[in-house]
Amino acid sequence: MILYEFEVKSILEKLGVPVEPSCVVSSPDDNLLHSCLRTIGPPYMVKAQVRGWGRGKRGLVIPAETEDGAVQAVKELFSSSYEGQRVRYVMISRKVQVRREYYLALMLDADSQRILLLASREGGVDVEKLARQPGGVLVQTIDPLLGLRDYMVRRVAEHLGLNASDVGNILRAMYTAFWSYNMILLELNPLALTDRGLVAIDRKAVVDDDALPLNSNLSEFAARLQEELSEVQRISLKEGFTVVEVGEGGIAVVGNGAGLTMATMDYVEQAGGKPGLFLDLGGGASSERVEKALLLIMSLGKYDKVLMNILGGITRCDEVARGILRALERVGDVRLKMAVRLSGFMEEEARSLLESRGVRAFRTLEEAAKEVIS
Amino acid sequence: MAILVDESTRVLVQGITGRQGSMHTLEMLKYGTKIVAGVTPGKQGEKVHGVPVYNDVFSALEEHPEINTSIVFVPAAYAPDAVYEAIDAGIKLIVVITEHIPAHETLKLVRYGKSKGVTIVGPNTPGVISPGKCKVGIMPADYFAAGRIGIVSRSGTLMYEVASRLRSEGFGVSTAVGIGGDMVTGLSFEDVYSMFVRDSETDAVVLVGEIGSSKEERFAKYFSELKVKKPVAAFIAGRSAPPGRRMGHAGAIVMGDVGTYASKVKSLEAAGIPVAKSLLDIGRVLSSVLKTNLARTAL
Repeated sequence: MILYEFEVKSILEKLGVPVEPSCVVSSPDDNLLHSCLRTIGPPYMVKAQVRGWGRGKRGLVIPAETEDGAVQAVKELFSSSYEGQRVRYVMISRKVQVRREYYLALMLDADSQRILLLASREGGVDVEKLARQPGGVLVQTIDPLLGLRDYMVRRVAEHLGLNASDVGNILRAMYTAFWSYNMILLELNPLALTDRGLVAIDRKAVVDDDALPLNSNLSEFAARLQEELSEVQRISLKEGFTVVEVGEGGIAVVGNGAGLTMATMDYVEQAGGKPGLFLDLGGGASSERVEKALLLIMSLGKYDKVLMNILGGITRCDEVARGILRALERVGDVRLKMAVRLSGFMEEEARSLLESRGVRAFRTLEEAAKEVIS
Repeated sequence: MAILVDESTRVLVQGITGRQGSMHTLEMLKYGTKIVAGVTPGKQGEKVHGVPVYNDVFSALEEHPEINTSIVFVPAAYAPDAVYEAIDAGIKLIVVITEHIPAHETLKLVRYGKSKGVTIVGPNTPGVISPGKCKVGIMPADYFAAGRIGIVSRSGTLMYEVASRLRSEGFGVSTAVGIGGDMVTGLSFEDVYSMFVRDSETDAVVLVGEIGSSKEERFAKYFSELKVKKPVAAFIAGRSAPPGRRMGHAGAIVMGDVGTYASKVKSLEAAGIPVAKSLLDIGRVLSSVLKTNLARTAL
């Protein structure tokens, strides 16, 4: 999950990272808006809160010199969208005088099995660009068993040409946040040098979805995300499957396991079919989960064919068959063409269940795919 | 020989009394895997399919010092602790079936395991099978015929699909290893491949990857720099996936250039590893690398 900037700000502020005065409103008519503007005082930076990057380039950050200007900017941002999503929150910050911009980040690196601390004298641009310049980014690896050591802080401070104690306070707070909130990525971009010292004026974080049910520090943020989910996303999250709309095609591809479902979708496309939906049932799907998945596909109304590819193992083929039959019973007369390929654990039981009710169960993917592509 | 698991493997099942733990204990026993003990805190004295249960790993090892492998079915919230316990008790191979362990926890336990010389397979893996010898995992054994091809895969069910296609084309498997679908895993493609290179019972390796992360690109770079190698055929899932979408596995996020289908195929092919463009082609591509290799050996 990508956190909102204001959420990351609140985390960092609690940990003692210097930040600018700001407030957040959830509509242009928010009662807090005027008192907020007065408390902060001009000039302002008015920033749409989005779950992603590239906000500035899309005109979603607007500077304002006056209160009226800020009110206008807030209105404008609430009527805009980001990647098809309406803007739900706008943050108004005091615009600070920046003497220089730096970049600081922590990221979990699966390749080296370490945490990477990235630091650059040039802030404000994206890290990929920086990394391509020799010496552009200092990369300090941190062994998770060792943690952030003083020598690392000194190295970063040296590279940035900044006071080690100021940088140290910020880095230690970042490192604490990184672990306390299961962050995969935490970026201060830019970290600004102002007349009053260093201030983290923009910040991004991505947290590990697997930590959401386990880490109570994240519950407030998870609850906010929950409110923003579409019906499809809400059902998927609850039932434990993964749904992705992949195109305009009419074939919904269903499988057990992400790799298998992707490979099935690849095959359909190569064989001339047009997949429109990817649905991974996950491991050990019960008949209820299968039923809910099929009902979801039917409720979307965009798909006239379903190709289901099941390799039994932790998943029982007969459970899958029962789920299919229950879904078909629930909707009665459906104009949905369905081809099921079943193989493995309880395959024969599943086949006889399905065929007794007129649903064809194929032994190979090729045969099943042919049925929905033709 | 095979790799990781064979006739000498003696298994401890952590989380043996749970639904999954109990069901797969039975499946592994049926396959002939030598499971000597299980652990579930508070359940000492019980038996699961005839396997004695202990409260903790240390007690199990006291009674059964021959244990050399553990398989973990403990839920995500408690799995890291179970793995640390197995490491500290001195078990050198730990297969972590559990999914949804937070990446930070995995990072720490993988580093800790390495510092103690422990091999961790997974998390979020179907496990390891050396057909005809031993299965420490949840894969349906029927898909895997015994033979001389090594399989290493990020995905579970896709590994079964590949194994079953190989079987139908007359290829058997020396060992199949699921490295796990998570972002951070104990073993990399390189780690498993280097074991296959040293294994006298493996002639060639099938690598089953998917979009997201840089694991396949990294393997390609490693492979191109190797002096001693065995042939590799690859298959990558996700050719038709739209970029930047999450596809279930935490690892399957396409980031920038690296991680896309095109990037992976390009890196692998540049390293001399042919990539089967369809599931149907895997057997053919594998035959071709085996032939090339035989020709090279003959010279």
